Amino acid sequence: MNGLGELFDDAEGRATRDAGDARLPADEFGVVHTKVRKAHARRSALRASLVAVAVVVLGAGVVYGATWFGGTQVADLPSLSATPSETPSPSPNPTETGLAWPGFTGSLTVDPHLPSASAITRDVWASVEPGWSLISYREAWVAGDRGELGPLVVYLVSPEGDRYELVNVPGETVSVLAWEAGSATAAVSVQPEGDPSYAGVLNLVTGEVTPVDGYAPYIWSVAFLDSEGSPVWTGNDGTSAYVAIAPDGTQAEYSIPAAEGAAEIAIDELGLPGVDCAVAAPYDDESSLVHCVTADWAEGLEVDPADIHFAVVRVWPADARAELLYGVTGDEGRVSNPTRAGDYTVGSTGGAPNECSTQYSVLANGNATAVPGVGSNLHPLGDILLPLGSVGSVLTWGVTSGCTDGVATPIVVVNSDLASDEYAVLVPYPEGRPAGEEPNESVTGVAVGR
Amino acid sequence: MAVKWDQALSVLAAERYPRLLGRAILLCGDRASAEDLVQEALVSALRTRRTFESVNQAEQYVRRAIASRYIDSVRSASAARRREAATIDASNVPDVAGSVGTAVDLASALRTLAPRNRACVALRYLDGLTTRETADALGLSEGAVKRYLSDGIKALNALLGTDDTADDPSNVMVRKGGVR
Repeated sequence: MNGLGELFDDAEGRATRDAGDARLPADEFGVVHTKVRKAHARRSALRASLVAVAVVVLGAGVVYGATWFGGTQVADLPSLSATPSETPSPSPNPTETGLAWPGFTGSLTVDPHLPSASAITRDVWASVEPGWSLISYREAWVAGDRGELGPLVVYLVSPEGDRYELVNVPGETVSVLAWEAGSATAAVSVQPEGDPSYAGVLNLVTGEVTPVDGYAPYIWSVAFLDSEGSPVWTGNDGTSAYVAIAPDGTQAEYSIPAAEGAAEIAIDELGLPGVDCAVAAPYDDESSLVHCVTADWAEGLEVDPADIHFAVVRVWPADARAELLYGVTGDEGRVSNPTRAGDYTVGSTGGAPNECSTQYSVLANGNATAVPGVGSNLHPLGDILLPLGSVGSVLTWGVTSGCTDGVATPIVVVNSDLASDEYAVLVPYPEGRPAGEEPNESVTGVAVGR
Repeated sequence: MAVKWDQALSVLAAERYPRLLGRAILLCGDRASAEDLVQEALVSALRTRRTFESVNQAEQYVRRAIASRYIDSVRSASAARRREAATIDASNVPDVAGSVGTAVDLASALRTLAPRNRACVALRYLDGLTTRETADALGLSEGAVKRYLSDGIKALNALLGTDDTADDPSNVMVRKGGVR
């Protein structure tokens, strides 16, 4: 006679088989995605106030700089001003060399909910090259039960963190996704209030968006960086795992090279009981990055603390070869979300094994070396670290909060030179906002110029 | 592997959806209600965190949310009337006691239980939750869960010829290949 346990197993298995190959319909997926995104974006005013208090305390008592790892800041943190000065007019003298001037208005939006910045000039535009970034910015905060939005501005940001306003985009929230350095257009997604998001191409001079066919991700949807340092996005309709988006807005499904059989090879390489591995990101054309975690650890059962419980492994499937880049034993924390950035492999590290990561590290030869800037209190509650792009040895990354408790806070964007100990803050934590208007969102998108 | 909520949603919506829908059908008894229930559970579970330890963990959140949302839905009088109408009275399930031991029997027998009894025994047997964990997941008191479990298991034993008890599992183990 079967017990109820076996009968339940059978019944659930039958019900699952009856469901066949059903998927959540695309329109329902959109509804779920929008509801969850808004829930994350609009946390209570109380939580926002708590964050503001934390920022004040940090601002009063913490000195930026080398706290854990000896980083050196190459660019001063841009100071925030509640009353930015009016713009200087664009340079009257066109630059003979460099990029053609697209005809930017050269204006500067004045608002307490924007970071300090300058107006774009012909000289600045002429100096743009790969490694400069586009950053779309709109602060959101909660006033009582109502969500409020500040102005949306797209900034051109130098690798050292100098910000220049390109265009003020009224209306719907826009997130820049991809941009070719020097181009007057960029691929974006648009998030209208109450309607589904859509993909488009933003005219950086006029602020107009031309809709295009395709998927409309936003900054949280970066899965990893490809071999060129461009973000690859998590697909949102269940039909494509990953999507690559070009600066002109065209989209293509992305498959991680050298992924076939890589997870099984990593499992064999580690040789640990109960280990579970999955291909996490590309490495190059011949190898991929595999992330492993021991099943026992994830289940909270007793394990040998001396064993590796989290690992990042480089695997060459064609050669059935694997190299352990970094492994973490039970009492040393964790590693997750590996990606390539130029010639480096980086991943989230630190924190207790069953908690969230607190650090971002270069992973190599069994060691984790902190990405420059990590540990410098750039974000008061940072526990989520995400790659946003890379050019050469410079990684652009973001840090925000919400891993454990879901507290939504603005994203701080940082450039770190992995070949040195230098870093620059591209967008700092928004301090000094009017009382009761402390934002829980700011940066809506980052596109590192290729 | 740690995953962001929207990454988890993509996988759940595609690869894990049949399993979630199957769970919901077991509770609701009909597919249309189950589809609504899964959608509600996805929102409910994914809004709690921005990242998850793994897709499996996110699925676990959703599976528990399916049960809790199911309970929530029957708390409203109108929903209760609708779902109770779909509940099969034990006296109207003539083949249940006569063909003991098949999965179909369990599904039919489960639908004879009141919603709270159904959710409690489902979480006990499908997720291995203790009484305390079930109470937390469903927003009920431990005493109420014990009562629902006892009544539900007793009814299922009578219908299916099993002899299980409502004692807490002494060592909760999740099945291999199941949710972690």
